[in-house]
Amino acid sequence: MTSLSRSCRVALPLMFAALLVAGCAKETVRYGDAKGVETVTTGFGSTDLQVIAESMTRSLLGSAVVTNANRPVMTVQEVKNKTSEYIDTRAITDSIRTELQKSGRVRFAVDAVAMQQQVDELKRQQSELYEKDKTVPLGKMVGAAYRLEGNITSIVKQAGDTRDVWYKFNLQLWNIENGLMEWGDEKEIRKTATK
Amino acid sequence: MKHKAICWMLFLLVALSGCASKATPKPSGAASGQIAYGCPIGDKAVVSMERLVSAKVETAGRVKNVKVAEMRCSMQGDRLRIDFTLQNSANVVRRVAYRFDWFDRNGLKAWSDEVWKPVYLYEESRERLVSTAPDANAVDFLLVLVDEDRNRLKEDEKND
Repeated sequence: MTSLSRSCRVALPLMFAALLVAGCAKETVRYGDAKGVETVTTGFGSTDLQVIAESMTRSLLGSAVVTNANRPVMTVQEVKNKTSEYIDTRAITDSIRTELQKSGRVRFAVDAVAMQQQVDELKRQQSELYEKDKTVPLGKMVGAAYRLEGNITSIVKQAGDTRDVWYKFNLQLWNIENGLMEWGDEKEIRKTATK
Repeated sequence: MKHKAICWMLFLLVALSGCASKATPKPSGAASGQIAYGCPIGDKAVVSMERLVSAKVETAGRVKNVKVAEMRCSMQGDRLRIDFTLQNSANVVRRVAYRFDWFDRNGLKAWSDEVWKPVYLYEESRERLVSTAPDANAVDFLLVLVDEDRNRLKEDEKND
């Protein structure tokens, strides 16, 4: 009993001190390179997204559809996520669309996701609150001539301490009028982690 | 006599204005129009592939055993296309990353920062890569390499 209380007398302050130190341990925060290679895990990361977006954009800008046509009008449709993990595919298509738009070679028509907001604004302007000659007229929206769609797939293998992930991103440009595929490209990425 | 004095004054004026040194801007790579192996080189004297590589390639930190062995440029429509070969002279796998900095006709930055693109290089191997300018205004470039094995190599050096 005495030896137990003596050891408690020694151990308790030590435990308290350890907890105090652990609680006070400050997390260090630093800014990093937003475009740097990120290899924290094998999961889909920022480098994968940026590499895919850049690769697809450069390829599409070199395609006959873009180089021969005068600023073709496109719309972005869904990129299906066929991997086993959650991937915000909208973030990938947003990056692709932004890069293409920046090039000035392509125009984008409002897509299905943003359609409701577009219609709401058009309708709002038709109310009697607005001056007639200072509102946009109905029936002037431009339909897209091409649609972008794609998918991302992955194969994951794990054996012992090694985990291997292979991603394939595929993007296609379809002619809406005649249903022909005008351009397509894909980007593969392999990531391996060992403990 | 009076006419002679006026003539001398005019002569001096013309001579002095001719001597007045004007700061002539240095032509940038694309603006000067000089080309070597299809790549814009500005006013640099490029007589060999080694000179071209040293003019167009930079490293962010030390990149051991990996270098750009060859580089050629061509036009793809109105955009610059660059073919380059990375060479790993080490007898181990090396991982590096690269990106291009793009410049316009005036030598100003023509595009936002590119993503660092990781490359896997087998032992004592060469890898040929292709990149295209983001738009027609990006007429000059700098290829930048960074060592993605730098932390591992530092640890190896410590252990040695």
